[in-house]
Amino acid sequence: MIDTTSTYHAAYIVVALIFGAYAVSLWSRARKLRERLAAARSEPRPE
Amino acid sequence: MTNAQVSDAALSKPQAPPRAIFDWFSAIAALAVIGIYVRAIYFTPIERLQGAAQKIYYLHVPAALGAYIAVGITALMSLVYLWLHDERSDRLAEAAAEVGLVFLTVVLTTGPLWGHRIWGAWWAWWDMRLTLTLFLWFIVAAYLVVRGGIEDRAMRARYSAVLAILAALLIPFIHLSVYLFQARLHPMPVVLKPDRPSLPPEMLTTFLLSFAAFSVLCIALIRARYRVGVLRDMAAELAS
Repeated sequence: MIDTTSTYHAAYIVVALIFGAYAVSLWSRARKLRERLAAARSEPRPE
Repeated sequence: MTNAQVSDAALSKPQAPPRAIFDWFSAIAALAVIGIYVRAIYFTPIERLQGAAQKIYYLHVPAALGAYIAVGITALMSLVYLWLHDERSDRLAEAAAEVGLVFLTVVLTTGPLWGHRIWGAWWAWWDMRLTLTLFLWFIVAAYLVVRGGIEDRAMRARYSAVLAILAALLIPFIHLSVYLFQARLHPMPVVLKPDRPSLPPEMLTTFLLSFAAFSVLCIALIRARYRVGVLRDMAAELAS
């Protein structure tokens, strides 16, 4: 049997990195938007 | 109505507080995918001819099916938008498209890694499943670029909806390409075919569990991305 372990390890790591990076990007975008919302809500309302 | 009046209306309108984008469902999805990693790595036999690289199958194929689900939801919600003009369906279509692009990226990175080792080639343009999957990636990317480039909300939703429906039309061609074209590197289906799956039972169980886990992950990410869209629209409404 040929040894293809390194290829499969690389693929499993790449998949984890892609999904992990996307989850972090969603979390980061949500955090920035929440800050923008909070800032907009704390501004004095126009008369 | 002036901008100030619009802002005032937005501020005075009662809006639900934004929930955490990741919830219990996301936790279940993450645990399910971790479980698939453990099962595939430690509890699934190594295939005799390809060796351990065959285990890429448990990520590559479920990711492809997850991409089909996401692009299918994008097209379905786009049809709903064209019919009802409901902004929620447009937002859901956008969320599913972005998640579909992530799943397609997984497919297009794991595939060449696997192919390089087993076929001796990173890529073959004459393999229609490969090439059409790349086309689908470009169309979904174009969908998101189009959305980013059009200011008017209704026009953006309408144009991108048409693109989403065209993208989804590629999916049956991608799946059936191994039947339609003689020159190919991809093998014939071993599970999604008219007769019984030809995988050994342990491998088939891992594949089916992986498909379930990736489907749950797909839905969890779409839910999370939808909530980001809600937050973005609320922020835009307040800023206008």
